[in-house]
Amino acid sequence: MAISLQKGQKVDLTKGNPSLKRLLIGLGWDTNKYDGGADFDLDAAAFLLGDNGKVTSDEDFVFYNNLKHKSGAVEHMGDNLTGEGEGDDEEIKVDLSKVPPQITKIDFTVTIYDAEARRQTFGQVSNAYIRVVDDETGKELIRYDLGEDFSVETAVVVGEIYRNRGEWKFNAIGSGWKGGLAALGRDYGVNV
Amino acid sequence: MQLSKGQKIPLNENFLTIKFQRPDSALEIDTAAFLTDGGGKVAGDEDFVFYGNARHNSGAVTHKDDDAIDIDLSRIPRHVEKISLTATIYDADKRRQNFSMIRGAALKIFGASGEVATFPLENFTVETAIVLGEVYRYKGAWKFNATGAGFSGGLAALCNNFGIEVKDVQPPPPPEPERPKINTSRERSKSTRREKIKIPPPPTREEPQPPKKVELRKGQKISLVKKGSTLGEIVINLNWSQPQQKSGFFSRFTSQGIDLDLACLFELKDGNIGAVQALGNHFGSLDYPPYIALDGDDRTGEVASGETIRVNGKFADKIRRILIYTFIYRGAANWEEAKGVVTVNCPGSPELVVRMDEYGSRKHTCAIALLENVGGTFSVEKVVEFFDDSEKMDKAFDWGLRWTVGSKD
Repeated sequence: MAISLQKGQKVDLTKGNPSLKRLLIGLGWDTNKYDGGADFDLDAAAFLLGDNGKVTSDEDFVFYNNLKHKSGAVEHMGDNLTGEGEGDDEEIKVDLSKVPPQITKIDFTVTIYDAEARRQTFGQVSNAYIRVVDDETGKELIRYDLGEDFSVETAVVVGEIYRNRGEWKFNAIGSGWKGGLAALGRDYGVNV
Repeated sequence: MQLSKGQKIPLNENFLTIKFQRPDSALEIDTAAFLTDGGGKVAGDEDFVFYGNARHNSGAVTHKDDDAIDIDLSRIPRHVEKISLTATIYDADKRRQNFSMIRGAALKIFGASGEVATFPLENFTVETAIVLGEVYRYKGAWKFNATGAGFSGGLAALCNNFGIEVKDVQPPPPPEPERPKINTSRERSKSTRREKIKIPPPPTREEPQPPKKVELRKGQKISLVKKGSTLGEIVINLNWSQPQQKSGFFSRFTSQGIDLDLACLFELKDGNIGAVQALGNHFGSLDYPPYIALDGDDRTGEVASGETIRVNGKFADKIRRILIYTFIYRGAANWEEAKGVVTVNCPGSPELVVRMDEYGSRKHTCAIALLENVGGTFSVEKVVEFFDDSEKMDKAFDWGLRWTVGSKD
């Protein structure tokens, strides 16, 4: 049984589970299908961050146009354009053993593609979650349901994994931002 | 509080009235509510609350005559997770209408102490059916989600979305005419609508038998014959038929019957105006002003005599004009099924017959005939024009009454 987290809650990943190496980060959401507007296209992304909370280079931004980090530590499994179907909508794999030492934190985000032109916000998204799965055993370790606190946001930092005294921990962030992926990227120090 | 699309707010009181406010326009819009389970589907057709099924059996959701929807959160059955409030444009395809034609509309939520929230509805393109908002359970409490999105497939698309099988959403074809008809084509322009026509000459001595029945055409005016010094009692009767059972989508909703109410507006020569109608118990009086009285209320249409208004001809010179109208108090505005017929009888005059033979309107009020005092007798004119409510009709005929909501329960 996975641990269900509340916003802001931090839990150990590797402490007490030293064999944990490969993670699968699953992100899911529901949107309603209506005519008249464009499809909802939500994108998951990962930002590999240094001590200062910024990327060390643009390559540390792993998303639909840069699916695999050069270290091999983070791999985006591909873009799902409509969010249809059961289960995870997008997945990102992380190999903790390959994360470069200068990277102390990896943030996972979900943004709405072309949100402004399509007049879409996270208020129209329901049942969004992030879950962390041990990719070797398939066991779900952590689940965080984002809940209902969003309305006008177009980007959400869903959660992050971070180094803490030689171990990896998970933090359920759930913070919304306006401005979409570009604004988020700039905030993390990416040249967007 | 002003809501933006996608915004969710907690609902802190149990009794809410939700209203889709919009500027006046030619679009005929119906509101409805779908009570759905966790999967977003209705458990049965009775969970679709609309003008033809105006009250959910739990009492939790009521569709009102003015298209507002009342919700009592304390009475919502356990299996219901969400109530989707919707608006559809009637006959949108045929009329080439959609919600992009509506500007300045808003969904308003009212609680005991007034407005709780308003959600401006805009930026629609092709939609003919929209989900205005959703009332839903979240962690044991009720919240509201400002949805404001919809479908281009009208009510059928909406029903499919909520798990209601739609077999036939076309209105039933108009009934076969019972007799050859004179041209009843509707004149749209106001200037020509009330064209005066020649009153047929009164019967002469060579032709002593007056015709027994005259069916009026729209806009046609016929004067009642004054026998002796005063008019006799004018008897205005409305009769209608109950809908037949039909196989098809709406059959189970219409089977509860139609209740047509006969009523009139009057204007006396001394300037007094008013209405004679069962609603609010304004039954009038024959011997005192307004000299017009309404017989008992037939709520089923099964009484052979239907509903009757009488006008005391002795006081004809005190009356300036009378507008005979009917409204549907309960049930769908299925005028084609009701087949309403109004007859005007006055001793010495042929029976005047006004058929409500213009169908397709979903409006609840129909002005049927206008009686105007002309030299001590009345001319009777067939109107048959539909209005959203009595107030709008009042305005169209320049009557000037103040209208409030009434009930006859």
